Amino acid sequence: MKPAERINNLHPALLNAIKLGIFAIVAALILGSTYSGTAERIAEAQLIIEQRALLEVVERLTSKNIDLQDRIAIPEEALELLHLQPGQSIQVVRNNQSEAIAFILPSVAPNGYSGAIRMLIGLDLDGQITGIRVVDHRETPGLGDKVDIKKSSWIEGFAGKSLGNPEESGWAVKKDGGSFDAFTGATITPRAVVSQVRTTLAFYQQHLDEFIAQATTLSVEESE
Amino acid sequence: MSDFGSISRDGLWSKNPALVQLLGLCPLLAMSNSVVNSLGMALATMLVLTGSNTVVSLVRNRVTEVIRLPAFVMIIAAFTTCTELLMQAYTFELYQILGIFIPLIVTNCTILGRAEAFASKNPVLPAALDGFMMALGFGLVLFTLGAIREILGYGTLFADMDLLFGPMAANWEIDLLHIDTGLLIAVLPPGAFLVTGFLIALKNIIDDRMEKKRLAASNPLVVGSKRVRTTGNVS
Repeated sequence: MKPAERINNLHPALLNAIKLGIFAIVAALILGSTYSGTAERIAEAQLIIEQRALLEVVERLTSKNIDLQDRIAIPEEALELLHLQPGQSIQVVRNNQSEAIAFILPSVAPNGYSGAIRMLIGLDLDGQITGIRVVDHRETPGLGDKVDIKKSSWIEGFAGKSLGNPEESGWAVKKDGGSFDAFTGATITPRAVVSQVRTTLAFYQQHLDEFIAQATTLSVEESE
Repeated sequence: MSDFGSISRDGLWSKNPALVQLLGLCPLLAMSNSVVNSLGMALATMLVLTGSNTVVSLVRNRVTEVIRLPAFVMIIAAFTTCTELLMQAYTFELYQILGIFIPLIVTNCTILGRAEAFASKNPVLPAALDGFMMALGFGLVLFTLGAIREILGYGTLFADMDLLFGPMAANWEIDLLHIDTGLLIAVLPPGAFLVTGFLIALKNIIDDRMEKKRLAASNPLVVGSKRVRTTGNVS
């Protein structure tokens, strides 16, 4: 039997399966090569976006030569409080004498109008907010999306605030008797952000000493 | 059908996927709230549709009836994922805005529809042209929708174009209406439905007019003239 005849004598289902299999292999090869061709650029693009947000939240710090190399782990029991995925970590911000001068915490407000609002919160050693950026959200365009710095400067109002400033009762939107503005027609979004920022501040205050200790150990390890 | 002029006309006008076949409405309505979003979506769709039509036509004699659909879907999914990766690599911020609608191109009925209805029955060149023209027709509607909604909703045109074309496009924004708060409904989903409805109505009006003209041209008999010509040349 010639090879061609042998192929034709195969059961049709088997023949179809083989053909489909070849399709799958070719598709996988194309995808694989595209992936490996773009992976590096994608990682770069992601890093640029993240770095930009990181730099923005610590813009107010006086030290200009900051070093963003080290990260420290988030205590496991806090993952739920901050609504984070395992593996996310806290960014240590050092000045040029490699002293830790601030920390950047990821935090997620789970109860936005259309799901989670992911934020980066920069905090200095006095517990003051150096800056906040919303890095991912699905809030309504024109209403809730004003938490995004691209749409409105509302989020900059958090800079300089801390747990005692305003007082505890002030950590709410004005509509609820607090001291933060809400947007016309959208209260849910700023309410979610304000309350999660407050939660994060309280968590930070409790653990600040641990963070500083960890950051110092890291820098000692590196210099050895 | 296989003549290039009529393929182009079908894709751009008489069988326009967005205005006539009403396929792929999900990305059309969801992502047309500004010109930059529309263009990004249109380009991604064009890449997938042209590519999938070409490949489907290339393999059309190899796939049997039974595995036709899974094979086509696999081809389309592969192209979509490639497009997604490319967008992530070269227009990351736009990719973030378009979000879930890029992977969802797989489910855009226009694409499987053209693979089934045209590419699987025609040679490569017409199939590729058909994919390109259908996508262009879809993209032009997306662009028009995006422009109208951006003007009504934000009062601007071509804002944030640097997300797609790089830093050189940063100052393309034209502030047309100088308003603080635009017509919010235009950027929300209901606005998409309304504007699309008006565009379809406009297309139908134009079609009606053209049809009347065509009839008038092919029927030179003046209404009211009842005399029958009995002599001379009837040309």
